[in-house]
Amino acid sequence: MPYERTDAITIRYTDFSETSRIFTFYTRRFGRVSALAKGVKRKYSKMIGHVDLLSHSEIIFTSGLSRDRLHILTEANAYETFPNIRKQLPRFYAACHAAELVNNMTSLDDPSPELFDQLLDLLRRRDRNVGTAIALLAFEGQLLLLSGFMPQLSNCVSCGKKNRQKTVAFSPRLGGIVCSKCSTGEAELIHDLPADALSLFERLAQKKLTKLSRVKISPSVTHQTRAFLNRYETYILAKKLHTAKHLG
Amino acid sequence: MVGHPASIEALATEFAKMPGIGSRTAMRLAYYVQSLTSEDAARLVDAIRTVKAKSRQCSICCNISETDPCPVCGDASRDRTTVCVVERVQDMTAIDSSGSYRGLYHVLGGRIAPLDGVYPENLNIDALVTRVKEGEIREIIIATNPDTEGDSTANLVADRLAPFGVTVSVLARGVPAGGQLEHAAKNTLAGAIEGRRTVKG
Ligand SMILES: [Zn+2]
Ligand SMILES: [Zn+2]
Repeated sequence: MPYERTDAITIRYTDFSETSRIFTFYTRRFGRVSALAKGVKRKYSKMIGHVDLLSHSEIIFTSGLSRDRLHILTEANAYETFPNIRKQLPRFYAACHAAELVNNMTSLDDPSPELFDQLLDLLRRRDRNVGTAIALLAFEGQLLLLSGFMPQLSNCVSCGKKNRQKTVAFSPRLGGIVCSKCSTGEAELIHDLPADALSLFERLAQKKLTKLSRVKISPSVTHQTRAFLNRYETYILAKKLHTAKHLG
Repeated sequence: MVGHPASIEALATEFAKMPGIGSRTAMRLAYYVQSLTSEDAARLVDAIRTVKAKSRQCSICCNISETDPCPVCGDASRDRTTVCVVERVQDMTAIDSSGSYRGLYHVLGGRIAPLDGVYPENLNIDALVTRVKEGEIREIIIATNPDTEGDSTANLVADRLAPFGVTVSVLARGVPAGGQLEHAAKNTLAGAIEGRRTVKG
């Protein structure tokens, strides 16, 4: 059986048996990968500390041939464990939200080195506590963009007209804002979204704002963007994410 | 495709809610229950009913017990000024059997795990704060598992107890990072308790 080696970030784990665990990684070379770590919970196993949740490590696994593509983890070496993320709940919550989004919005064995680097960058920012709230929004924007779910936020998704209003309506189904003319008859609209918050989010997603630590964003704009993203993500994933609950 | 009978499906659905049980194992267990004799099945049902009827959460430390207060809280020979905070009852058992700790405990009922939908409000943290406010406790030893979720939980507990003037300490790193206290060796645990370091107070 061939061995594969790659950089990985642990985004989920579940107990498989009394002594074994299944880890889900987002890897640089293979995208999302699930691997069984046999005996990892045993007394003298050293592996478990190297693949702790949200850690960045090098993993080696043998590719499984089973239908559900569950690989076997054979070795792991932690590079970064981000101890400061554990010190304040808002940082921990944001990092978990990023992990849950990646787990739900990516496919098995569909690599995007760019997304891997974005996730790693977010963890490093949360660990150093720089550009806090905005770093998560920027990450979510890039994840939506890379996975093809980025909504149309400055022009009407239906007729293409540029928005000039202060507040707009958004259609999750159409994947964008809709002008007053096109919104008639459209069900499930999210009303009264602040246009400035949406356009800031769009610029973040397109990486037009590179110095995140210098971007000034008011708590109310952060809050409105957060509320919008929670609703939109719930819509595209057709489920409520656990980690959407206490995001600042 | 041949489906499973609805009653088997229903039982498997219940098993699949249990920790560490996937849908395939749940189905295997459901067929196992079906294969039991009526007497064995009745005993299983009875055991589940008895657990629910007889055991409860101790109103002081949140341990699971058939008495309230539990035998640990009721043990007069224990040091009542020291409380060891653990995630689960199993961790309390492991620490107690290491033989190097004779104080009281507080069972949080899990750890902060946003990915599993577990937040501070789902844990017995308020009950711990109430205990500390009463004033008899002088030292809190936080013994959550040394992993991302356990550390996050420990840091929150320490922060919540900071205003009350108790000494807060955490276990020494004898238990390997990511390791589970429940599976740790007795002498490792004993060393971790004896070498604990103060984080506040
Ligand atoms: Zn339009
Ligand atoms: Zn008790």
